[in-house]
Amino acid sequence: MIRKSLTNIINKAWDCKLSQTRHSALFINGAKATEHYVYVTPHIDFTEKIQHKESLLKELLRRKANIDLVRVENLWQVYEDLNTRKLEYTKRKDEISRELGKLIKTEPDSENTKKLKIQSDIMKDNLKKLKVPLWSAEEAAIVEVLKLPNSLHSRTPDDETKVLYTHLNPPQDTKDHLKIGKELNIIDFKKNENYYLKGDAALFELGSKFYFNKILKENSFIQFSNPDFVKSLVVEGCGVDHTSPDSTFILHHNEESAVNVDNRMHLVGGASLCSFLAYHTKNVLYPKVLPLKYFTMGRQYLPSPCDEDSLFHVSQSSVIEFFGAAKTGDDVDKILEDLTDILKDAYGKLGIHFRLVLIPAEKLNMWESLRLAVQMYSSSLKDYVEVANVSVSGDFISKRMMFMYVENKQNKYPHLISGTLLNVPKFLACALEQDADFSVPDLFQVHNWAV
Amino acid sequence: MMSRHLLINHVSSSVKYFRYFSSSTVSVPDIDTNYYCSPENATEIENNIKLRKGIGDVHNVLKMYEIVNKTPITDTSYTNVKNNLYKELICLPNKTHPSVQDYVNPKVVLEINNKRDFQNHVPLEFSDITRRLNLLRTDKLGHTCGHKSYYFLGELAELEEALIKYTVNKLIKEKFELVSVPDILPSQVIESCGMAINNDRTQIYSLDPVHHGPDLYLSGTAEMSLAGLLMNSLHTEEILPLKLAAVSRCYRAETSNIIEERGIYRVHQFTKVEMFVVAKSSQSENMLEYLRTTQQELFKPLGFNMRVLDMPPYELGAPAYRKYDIEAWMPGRNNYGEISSCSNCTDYQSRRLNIKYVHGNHMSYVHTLNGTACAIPRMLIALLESHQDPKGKIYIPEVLQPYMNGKKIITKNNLVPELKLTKIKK
Repeated sequence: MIRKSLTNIINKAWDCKLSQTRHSALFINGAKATEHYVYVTPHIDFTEKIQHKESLLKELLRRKANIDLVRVENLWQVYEDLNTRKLEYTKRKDEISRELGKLIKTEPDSENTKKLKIQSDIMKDNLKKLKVPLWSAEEAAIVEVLKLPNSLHSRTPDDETKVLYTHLNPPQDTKDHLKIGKELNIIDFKKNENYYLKGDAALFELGSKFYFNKILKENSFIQFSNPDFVKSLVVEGCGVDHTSPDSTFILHHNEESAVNVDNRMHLVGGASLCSFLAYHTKNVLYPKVLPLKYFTMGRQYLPSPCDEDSLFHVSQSSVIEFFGAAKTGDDVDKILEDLTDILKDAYGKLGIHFRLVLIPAEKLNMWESLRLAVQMYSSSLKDYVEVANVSVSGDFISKRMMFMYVENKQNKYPHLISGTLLNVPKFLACALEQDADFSVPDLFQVHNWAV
Repeated sequence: MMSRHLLINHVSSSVKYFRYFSSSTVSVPDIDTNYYCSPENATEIENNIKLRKGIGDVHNVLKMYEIVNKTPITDTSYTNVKNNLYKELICLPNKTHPSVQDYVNPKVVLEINNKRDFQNHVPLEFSDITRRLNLLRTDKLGHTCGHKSYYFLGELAELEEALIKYTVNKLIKEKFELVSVPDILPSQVIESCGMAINNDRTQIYSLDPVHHGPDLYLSGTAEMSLAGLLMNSLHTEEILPLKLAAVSRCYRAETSNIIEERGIYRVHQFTKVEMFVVAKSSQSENMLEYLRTTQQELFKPLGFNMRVLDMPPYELGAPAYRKYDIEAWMPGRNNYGEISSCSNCTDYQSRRLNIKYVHGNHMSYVHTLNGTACAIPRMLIALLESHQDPKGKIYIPEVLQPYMNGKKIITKNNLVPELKLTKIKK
């Protein structure tokens, strides 16, 4: 009877086409876990999530996410069933062992003892046979569960960008930043992967970064200087496909060991969410240190999304990146409020039109629950461009990366907020496309670098 | 063209060169065959290679040159034999400045600032200082960002920014033109600077060739990217010497297990301010002295002891004609450590990169020079180890204070919490 149901489950698992291809750097189990060192074990909260299936479905719809929740649920069910089975076997095995323990002293050679011994062997055998299918089922389910997007923040708009604040008016003329950059001889643009800023454009880059650094320090943000490489598990942990060359630059594997798609080195730049997460992965904090507000100035590398030459699509950007962690969603909302004011003030002093907007659900990345963006107007694109952003991601990433704090002897996951507060190439491009002739703002000039 | 530049001079860059090839690659480097392929120079060239512990075989070059000369241009093998000759030719090192040819060891030309007397106090090493003050994280990062990664925390990150501001400010006053450079470069640019990319054990990181194309490398220094900017360019005589400066990220794949290079002394990634000069041949010797003086003027106010070295032939690598290193005394390590170098590469790079200037009716190859203005990690080691107080705080040199909001000392960082790895396993 037990054997029969086991065969059923295995067949069912087989039907679901388990372990065909899988790519997870974050979740590694079974036999693979002995081949590769397992650094993190993501916290999976699917059981809680699926209890609110209706709202989950609604959110997937709002995101226009291409996810078959029924399939994920089925995979999860297979895993649950096998797991229940395992628990039953273990329980039964333990019971038998206990009985056997008693009997073996009093009647070591009785029929009953022999029978129990056989039953015990069967249970052990069952458990052994269950091991591999359980691993496969667990892997298949969790790999899919890890692809589910974050839940949406209550402020995230449905279909359209919601404008919160507007400063000055958009430019009237049509200008092209690359043309102007060439005329002024301040941009030497070879392609999206290879460009140089010269003279005033290079000064603009440094000066704008120093300007934002100063403002952040005044607001008690702590400065960091981060490494530029992260490993695959961090990329996946941050909700980015670590196998896709369109998402990150993957370094050539020049060691003698075999190439493993789930353990590569990625060039993301120190001024990135990944780099801050690499710092916090698998670490525990005391609750009294929260909230944390960090920032860094540095590079951000992102493979160019298209062939069209433009500073809007370059693969290397100088940026200011910020990272915050707090105990609760409310605490994070408070940081968002403060940052909104800081951004209004910082960009407001530069004399360029911009607006603050909330990005609609369908345009969010899977790890974001809310994104606030600073948009400037590109007169060449006749559209708004995101020069800065702040994303709320709740405990989504901290759960994946085992980033925790302990309160009342309980492990809890901090809520995260992060963003690129200044993207220099995009900002420079918009600044060049304004009606007024380009000049480096006084606030960015060398005499304002020091006190 | 010139007049337009004058008109927009208030915002314009002074890099007034123009390209005379549409392609961004150089087909064959223009090595001076008159010199290298002339038998009467063979002994001199051979001695130079030996002196510099360089590679290349001048006799092989002469043999191949003869073959090339005997092969008619119309012959099918001509391109092949010519390519073989150039493969040999580009290996040969630059000539060596006559003043340093006899040096066996580096010659100390100048010592700057006295070594600080710590009296009874034994100065701590950078890693101990930063651990006490909670300014750096290097441990347990292998699984998330790789071997030898590091994070500067709080005031150490501020000090990095202050050093960049201080350095760039000085270079702008010296009329250097700022350039922001790409960190991902095609192989040809890197090779033309005299860096060999040949096998998997290279010193240079590369992007996955299957995913991102076969020919992309991470820049080891802004010297490479600036050379790439200038590749195939022609300059007017008046704008030389052209002085460029770049703040960039540098990536180096080499590892080291030497105890002297522990901590952040040799790392895979760091920020550096670099100087690069394009000059007429008649200017380059003076410009090397100028770069060295600029470095001395930059470093002296930082208050640590250092010595300026005129480097012997075997320390020059392939491209340099003459090179000065500056070594800072690092009292915690109880050793000198190289914090900068500057080199005159004469026409070694310009012939490979095709950078020329016009004088009268002639075109000549420019001379290129490069020098470190500030390499962050070692600069931080020298600063923290030299300016530590027995009680644990760090004095900030006066010239850097305005860039650190007037702060005079660095104390223990209590704002970044110390981390604890979780032991939880499922």
